[in-house]
Amino acid sequence: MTYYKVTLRVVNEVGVLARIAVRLRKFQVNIRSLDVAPIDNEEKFSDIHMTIETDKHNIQVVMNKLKTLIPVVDITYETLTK
Amino acid sequence: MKEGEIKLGSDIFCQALIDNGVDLMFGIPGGVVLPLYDKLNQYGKSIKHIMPRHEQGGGFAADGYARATNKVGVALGTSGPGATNLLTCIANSMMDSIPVVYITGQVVEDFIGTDAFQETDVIGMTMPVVKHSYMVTHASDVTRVVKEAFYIAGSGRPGPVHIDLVKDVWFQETPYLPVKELNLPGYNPLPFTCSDADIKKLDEILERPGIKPMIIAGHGVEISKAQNELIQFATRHNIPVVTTLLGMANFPQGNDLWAGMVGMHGDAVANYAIHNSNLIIGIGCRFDDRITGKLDTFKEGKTFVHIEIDPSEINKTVPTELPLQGDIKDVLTRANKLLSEHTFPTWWEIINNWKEEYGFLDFRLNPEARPGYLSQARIIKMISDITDGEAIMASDVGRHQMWLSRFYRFRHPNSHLSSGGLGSMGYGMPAAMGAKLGRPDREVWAISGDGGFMMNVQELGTLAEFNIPVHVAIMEDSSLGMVRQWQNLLFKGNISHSEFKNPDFVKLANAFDIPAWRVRTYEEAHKAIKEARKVDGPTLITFMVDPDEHVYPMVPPNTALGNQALRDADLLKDQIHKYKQDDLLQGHT
Repeated sequence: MTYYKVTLRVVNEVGVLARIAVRLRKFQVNIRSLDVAPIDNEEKFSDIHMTIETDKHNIQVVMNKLKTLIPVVDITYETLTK
Repeated sequence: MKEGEIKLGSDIFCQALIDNGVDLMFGIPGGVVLPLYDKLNQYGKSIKHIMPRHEQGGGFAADGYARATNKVGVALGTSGPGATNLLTCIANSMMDSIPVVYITGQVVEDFIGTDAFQETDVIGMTMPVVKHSYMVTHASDVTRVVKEAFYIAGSGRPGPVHIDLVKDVWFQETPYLPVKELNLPGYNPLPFTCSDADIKKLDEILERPGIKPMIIAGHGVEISKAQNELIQFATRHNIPVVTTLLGMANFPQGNDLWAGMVGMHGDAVANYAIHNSNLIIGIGCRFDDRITGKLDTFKEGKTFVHIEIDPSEINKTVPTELPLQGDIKDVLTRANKLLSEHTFPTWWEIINNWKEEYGFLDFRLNPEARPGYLSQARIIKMISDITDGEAIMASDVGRHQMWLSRFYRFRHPNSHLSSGGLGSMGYGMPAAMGAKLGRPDREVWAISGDGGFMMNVQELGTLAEFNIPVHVAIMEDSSLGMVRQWQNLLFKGNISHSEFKNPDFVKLANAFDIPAWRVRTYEEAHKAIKEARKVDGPTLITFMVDPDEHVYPMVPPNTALGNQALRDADLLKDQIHKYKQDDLLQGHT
């Protein structure tokens, strides 16, 4: 199993986390930890920090597919050593 | 409607559709959308509304309309079953990147979560199969959401957008404020555009010694309207072109560079050429499993160049040495200016040998049907000849779909409508209906098997009521033909639950006042096709075809394209047969 730290900048709206979770589930990715909070005074955007684990799919493909979600503004990720 | 005028949500919604260029929609009224329908017929001058007999018929019609016109289609269903009936259509549009806005009603906001009558969490259901979705709970959001939905559906890599509106919206009064600017910080329809320097790298790749290049042209060529640029590009570099199923009709089949359709039931030439090449230039395609065959063999020893708008397709299934991201038309236009010309005489010698041996629109691999039956391949070729390749052909899913793609000589883009990614039976006739309404100037045919036809048979009612001149051709063999072919060849002839009894299709059509013919000989077929074309309204012809006519070539699951089967004997050899069974057990489908 490989672990990754993922940070997503998203539009703060109902359902954005569900969209991300649905897409991760499709790729059989498990979310180990999750933290979501708005980042600006108007609370228009949130940052999602998560650690995920997967050994099935190419992580770059998974991240690329996450980026196609309309409310996802930006994604960065790095591999973690456990 | 004047800007700032206080109006009901239902009025504003109708106006928003008009503002976004909607002139045709398919929908079925029901509980929660009745307030909308109470207004909708007052906008009848601007929006033609067609009520299909089932939401799936409406959804597929909107999808077919979008494919034939390059415009955004619209389909509507009420909450609950109306919405769930649209699910297959939404998934279909998603798999094939078709711009359709799907609209569903939702129960009143206070009832959400109470398991109210006809309440379903339809946004939750469609989430994995939409480009984007919206739940609208206030009329003041309507103009913005509708504008964003049409923009997202039709821009970049197109796709379905779903709007779910709670019933309250229709009754709320709010000022009509058209949206002028979009604010979608997470959405860029053209996320990357490759540089001229990137494009120039292709010269170096094409000049490598011993290079055997092939172009795979996909649906993206049609979406980007880059047919002419593709011809120029292929001609400049003298590279053979194969297309995918959805790419058919986007490269002239009479062109010398044409090398057929590639894939599971592609042309023999195309499959051998791709298998033996060492450079693949994928243009607006996604290297789907039906195209690649056994993926490891497909990738082996090949260099990949991928011209594609969607970054998430790059490196998804094949490792790409040179990704050229951007709108295909733009990338090819620049490539045609920047790159040197090339020729590949030795490679062409090999390709031409295959062309000579297997040909296109050629029956060498499709022997005549057994006595007393018609051959589907020959019927489709006959329709192609009689219509001179000028018609829009909507296909259902199955063997006829494969023969249609290979034995119809398409002369225009946006003319081959096929459920490629989802492979949804029942697609053909409704899609043809949508196409004809969008392109009344074109002749439109629906080619369907009897299995798929029966899945949306109710749309005969819609064709008849609105007198939509679609010619429906049924390939009648009382069996699920493609299933039967697999059972014959890969499951030792165990025909399990794939045969069924049909109604009398001629009587059925006549019950809708639709003229119909049953034909058993090629002479009758020829006559019926000509008669049908004279009718200014829907027609139906049922062709009595051979249930055991197999589509060849066939690339069985997890088999390399180069090992395609060209005849029954190739598949029924003992060791190959056993090998396939093992593969099927391993879950390769």
